[in-house]
Amino acid sequence: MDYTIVLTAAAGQGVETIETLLSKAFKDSNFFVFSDKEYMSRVRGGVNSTTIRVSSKENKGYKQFADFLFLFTKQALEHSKNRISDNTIIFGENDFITDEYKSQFLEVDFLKIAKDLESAVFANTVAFGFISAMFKIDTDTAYKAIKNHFLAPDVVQKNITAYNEGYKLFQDNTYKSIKLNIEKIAEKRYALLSGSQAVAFGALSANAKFLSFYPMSPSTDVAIFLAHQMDKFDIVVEQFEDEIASVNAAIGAWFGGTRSFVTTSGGGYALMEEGVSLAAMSETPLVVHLAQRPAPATGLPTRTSQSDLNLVLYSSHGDFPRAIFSPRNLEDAFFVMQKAFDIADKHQCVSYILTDQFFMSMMYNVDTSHLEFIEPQNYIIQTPTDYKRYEFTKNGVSKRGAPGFGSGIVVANGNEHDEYGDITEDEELTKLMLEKRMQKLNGIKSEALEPLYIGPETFKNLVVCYGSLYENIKEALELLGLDDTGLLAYSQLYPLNDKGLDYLTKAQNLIFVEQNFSGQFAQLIWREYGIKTNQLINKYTGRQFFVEELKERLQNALEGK
Amino acid sequence: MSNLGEFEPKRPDSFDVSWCPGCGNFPLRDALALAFKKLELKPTDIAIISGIGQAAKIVHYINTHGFHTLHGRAIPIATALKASNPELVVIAEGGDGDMYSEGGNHFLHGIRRNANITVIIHNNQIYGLTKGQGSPTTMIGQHTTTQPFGVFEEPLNAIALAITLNASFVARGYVGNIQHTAEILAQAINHKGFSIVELFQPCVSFNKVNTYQWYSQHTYIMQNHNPKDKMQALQKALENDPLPLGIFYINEKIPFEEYLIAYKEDKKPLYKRSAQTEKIKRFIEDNF
Ligand SMILES: Cc1ncc(C[n+]2csc(CCOP(=O)(O)OP(=O)(O)O)c2C)c(N)n1
Ligand code: SF4
Repeated sequence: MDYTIVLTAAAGQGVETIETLLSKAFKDSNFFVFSDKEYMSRVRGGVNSTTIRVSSKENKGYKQFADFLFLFTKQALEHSKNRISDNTIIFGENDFITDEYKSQFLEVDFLKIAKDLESAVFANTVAFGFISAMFKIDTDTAYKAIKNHFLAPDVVQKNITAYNEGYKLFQDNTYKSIKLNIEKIAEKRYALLSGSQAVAFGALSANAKFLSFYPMSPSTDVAIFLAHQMDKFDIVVEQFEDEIASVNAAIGAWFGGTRSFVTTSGGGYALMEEGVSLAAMSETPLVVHLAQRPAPATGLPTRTSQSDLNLVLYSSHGDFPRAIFSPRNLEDAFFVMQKAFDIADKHQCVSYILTDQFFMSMMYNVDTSHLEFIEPQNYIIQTPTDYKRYEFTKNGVSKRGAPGFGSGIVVANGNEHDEYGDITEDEELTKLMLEKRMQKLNGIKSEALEPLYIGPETFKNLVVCYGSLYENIKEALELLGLDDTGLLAYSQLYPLNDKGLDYLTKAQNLIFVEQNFSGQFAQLIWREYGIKTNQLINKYTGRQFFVEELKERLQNALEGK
Repeated sequence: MSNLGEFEPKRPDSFDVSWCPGCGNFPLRDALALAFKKLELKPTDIAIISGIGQAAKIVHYINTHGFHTLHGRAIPIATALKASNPELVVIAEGGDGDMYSEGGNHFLHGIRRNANITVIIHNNQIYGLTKGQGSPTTMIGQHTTTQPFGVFEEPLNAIALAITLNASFVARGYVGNIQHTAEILAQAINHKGFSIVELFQPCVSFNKVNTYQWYSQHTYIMQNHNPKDKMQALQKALENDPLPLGIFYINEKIPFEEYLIAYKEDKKPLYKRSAQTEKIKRFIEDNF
């Protein structure tokens, strides 16, 4: 079984409630569930949509065509027209539909039932009951989801009544024709996690103990989630006055020996650049999570993009080493966060994790046995008397002390410095210190993550991607079923692991897929290896590529269209 | 060379002090070392986070932990250092340009956040390191390199501003009086909360108006002032000529770090704590 449900509503209509309840109930019913949403940057009105895909297999792709489209407002049909195929069944109030789609429309009025019950606010729970009946969700499972969501007993009771009404409604003759082929997924320990939670848990597992931030969509959810964990885990989460303060605070915590990070988006990161160069010069580790959205300037606050690779790659003044990651999916995000912390701490450098809006709001069942834990290493030493913070070493990494731990004095400096950390303008030292810092890039590169290759042993076409496009491209290629085409998916973008070269050089036809205008990663590969992509499949509308859309674009590309 | 005692740094480049002979930063440093001695602090107990400017170079000329950072950014760095290791005595230091201009926003919000740190502003009423431009505290009418026809902007009254924001500790000193300055600094460091100490520090190279003599003639030490009285503190802060010196305002309140749940039961600095891997595993499996 593999069904896609799309719920389209105005902001403020509370579709998130249905998404939460349904996802939980589907998961607890042993279905695999994937969901994501696209939404406008407004608190009320407008039109937003949530996609929920339920399957008996680990389907993590973002499907375009809905099997069931639910309209919650008159504007919804126009908004979600591109989600309708000939097989889509559309639900909604009678005046939501146009003649064109009448034949595949079934009337349902959740609002009326809710109002009859007492209040319009129950419409979502009625819808939850209706869809639950469609998927034959066990009543107790649904009640449990309601209880966990609404908490207060009287509210829970009212919602259970609303749920029952919705459930009953589906038994009506109107919907007789809907018969689903219900099939469960093999039972495993699944956790229903979102992109922001995967990033947050990755950071926690990496022993991050301090998060400083200034709110900016779509990165804020990481901070919101961790702020709510302050009473359960050892972590300080503080909202600072701006991104400049946030990044400097993260540096201050690292200077004190504490693993810390910032979560931000492109515009916020632009303000952090000076701080990043301080981290680089003072060799203070730093971890930056950047959830991308379309830019420049305010761009589209709640939309998605992959256009900040160049920003982090070239940002900040001066030459210095850095590491850039972009996780392919939730399990990968959990792992990559830990890796990013380890690299930053070990090599005393800046690590970036690039995600995006689509990734942040994505949710699915994560097989917990696939959550990889890296035991956090301690790189802080107890300082001896006459400690030199920037002692020259072969690999460029000096032992890092923390103030107050040991008998040494720790002096860090954003000015060029001698081995003790004091200011110098000595010509020879200036040269040696810069070389020392750049030397660390070799160490960082030596442990760069290998890109993931999927496909036949010998191939003609190679599709290259990174980050959140991975699952969608993978599925699109599976649908195409080609025996001459492989996929190379990166989760570390800089420095590159040269194993990827084996694949890049073998391809007769290279196709990069990116969610930006200029093909920023293709440019990076060209700069690093002198290998030019043959084709660039890109989208820069602020909306994520759908599986079906990718299938078509890839097919066209392979046919040379 | 000086009377800093164990606060005299012994590192090779720390002897090459780049302050001009006669600069007010020298007595300021003496007063700071004296305050440390009064409080019986050891060099390894203290971390000074400085911004950028002549003032900010102090971390190289005094023997404590130090981080010479960016123009204007000492306060957030110091705040996070204190929050990650409350055992340290943390001081944020910089010039008037550093703290009031480039770092103005952090100054405002630092007061609101109220970390238990001491902020020392070396106020020479001019930009020293960049050679004589006007600062937020340069007096109206003063001619500078970049205001050749005279400064016309209203100087910032940081003392009054801090009091109106309910800052926890607000004081002003003049480095010409080392004993008095050291006394204020010791009290500021001892005070639990965000302590602001603005110190008049003559710049002999670029400020020909606010000289040692000018400060001696235009300042006085407050007597019989009650620092718990906010209105009296504000009234004193608004006096222009002569300028009062001493502790203007003390407002006892809970500092930032004490609100942090991470320290409710466990007082250990964060860097001494390990990852809670097992707890995370169980939490995910039980709740998601
Ligand atoms: C972002 C940034 N802008 C400007 C400068 C140049 N700059 C260095 S120090 C300084 C002002 C120094 O004045 P003040 O802070 O009062 O310290 P003083 O040198 O007088 O002690 C300026 C503008 C800088 N280092 N960084
Ligand atoms: S320029 Fe002014 S503040 Fe700087 S060292 Fe010289 S006298 Fe002191």
